[in-house]
Amino acid sequence: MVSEETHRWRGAVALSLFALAAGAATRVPGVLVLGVFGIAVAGYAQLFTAPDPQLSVERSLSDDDPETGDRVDVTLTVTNEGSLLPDLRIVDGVPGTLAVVEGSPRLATALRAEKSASVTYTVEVVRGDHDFGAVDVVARDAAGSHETRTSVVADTALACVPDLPRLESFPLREQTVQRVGRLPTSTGGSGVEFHATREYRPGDPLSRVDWKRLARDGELATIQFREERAASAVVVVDTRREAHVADDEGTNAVEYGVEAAGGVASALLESGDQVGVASLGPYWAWLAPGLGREHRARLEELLARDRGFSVAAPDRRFLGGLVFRRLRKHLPDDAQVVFCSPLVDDDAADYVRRLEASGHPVTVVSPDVTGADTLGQQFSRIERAVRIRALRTAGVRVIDWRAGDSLALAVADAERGWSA
Amino acid sequence: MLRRLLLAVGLVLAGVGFAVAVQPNLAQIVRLPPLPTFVVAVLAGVFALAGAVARRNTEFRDETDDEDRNDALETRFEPPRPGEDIDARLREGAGTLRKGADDAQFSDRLRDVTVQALVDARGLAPEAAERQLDEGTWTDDRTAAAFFADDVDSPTADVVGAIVSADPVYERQAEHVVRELRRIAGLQGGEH
Repeated sequence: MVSEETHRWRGAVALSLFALAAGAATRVPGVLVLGVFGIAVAGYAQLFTAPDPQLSVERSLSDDDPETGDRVDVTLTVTNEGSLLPDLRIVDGVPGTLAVVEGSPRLATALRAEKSASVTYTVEVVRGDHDFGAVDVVARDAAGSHETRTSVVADTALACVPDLPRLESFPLREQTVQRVGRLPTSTGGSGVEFHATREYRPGDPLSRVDWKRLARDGELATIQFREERAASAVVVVDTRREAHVADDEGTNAVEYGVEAAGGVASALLESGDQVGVASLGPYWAWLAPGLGREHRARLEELLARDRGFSVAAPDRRFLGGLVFRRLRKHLPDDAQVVFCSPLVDDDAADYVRRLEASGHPVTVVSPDVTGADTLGQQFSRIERAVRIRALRTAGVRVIDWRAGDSLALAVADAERGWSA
Repeated sequence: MLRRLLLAVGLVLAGVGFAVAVQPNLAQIVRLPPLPTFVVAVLAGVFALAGAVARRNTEFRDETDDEDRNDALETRFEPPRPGEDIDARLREGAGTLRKGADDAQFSDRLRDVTVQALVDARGLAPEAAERQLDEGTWTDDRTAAAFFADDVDSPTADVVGAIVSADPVYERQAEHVVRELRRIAGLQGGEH
């Protein structure tokens, strides 16, 4: 708590005394009265001491378990447990990750002893944990000559853990672990898609004998299907300061990155692949590839609540070399990487190249948040387009996802391009 | 307590003074001692001067403190648009015809991207693309070509236009380069 004089009346006293002197010297009653009046007001201001606000604060939310995009009313009630506060100003500690979309979290009022005042405002909920901060309080005496600043703690938390976004399928590159799954490989074996025929060997199952060929040519041959194996993939979300850029609606590219990560993870888990997630940014987050319902729940929780995937302002230095080494160390040898990044700086493309060079096939999902309204925006869009082309030339698959459009459509478009 | 007592005495005297000022006859009723008005004026003047000096020496709160405090209270993070740094630099340099250090950095980025775009779109070797930029032969747009080539001048109409509209020549040339790049990179029809 800090109390101090505002010195609001200091100039008024000097002016009043000058008026008094002038009135006395000229014997003009009006000027003299003016001076006396000023002195009286200044004396009144000195009558007070700094207020000592004794406040209790209660915060309530209209919805304890909101979904992303829901609007939640926040009501802050302040009760004066001390003496009269003639001038009280409060500002609620709205989490930096939430936007106030209606009303104001500020209140200015006079508050008598044992009385309460409330303010209600509306926030739009986004993914993550949102902790409301302390309520900031400024109290002044009636003349405004003394001021006390303090804060009142009122812990309230709002959490929003959305389900993983639904994505029908996600194409991975060829390179797999030795486990049956849905990823087609170039190796012939058991599966459903025709691969080739070879000469019959004793022990081959009768169901795979090419009977038509036997009837036609009299040769005994065995049909081989394209072997399908499960993949191990780690979805890496670019959360570096450079990736915190917004589209024309103000949505953070990191939010799109996390949405893409959720969709990709959901699709891969559905198809029996092992999926992990990581955050490439100032706050390290990691979940090793895994399978199953529990793993899915852990993944959901991590993407929604871990600081590593937050859209809050990056307030810590990113030690790129260190974090990248840590990522390399954690990545299983056979893991593919799906890198979700807006690709608005050269470093992002460099990380992709380095991952690819270290034997991890990379697929980039890049939300395009660039604009074309200003010269800077146009240039940034061109830089990104050139980066994407360079990555594709180097053999990296890039899904260019126009922010705001459907990710599934972007994936389907990209797949068509790869198979063309 | 003493403070309040003195304050009460002061307020009473101020009240009496106010009453006497309004109705001078009251001075005789309350039998105030005759005091030359110039003494009152001098005393008031001295106190006023002292008050003025005290005010001058008062350390008022810095206005920026309040701004900082407001920033700390409203912590909502609004990420920038991609390219906002370039726009900010161009805004800061608006009206100046000289190239600053920031402009040089932007020029380097523009050059790198142009070279890469020419390599990708036209299959040139990087050295050949660099040479075309230096010679101004990479585009038919003379304003854009003049951005990288020392021997190519912007068309006269462009220079006059820049003077009339007060747009820096540098920015105008950069706009033309970006327009050309959009075409070459396929963001506006494209060469491929």
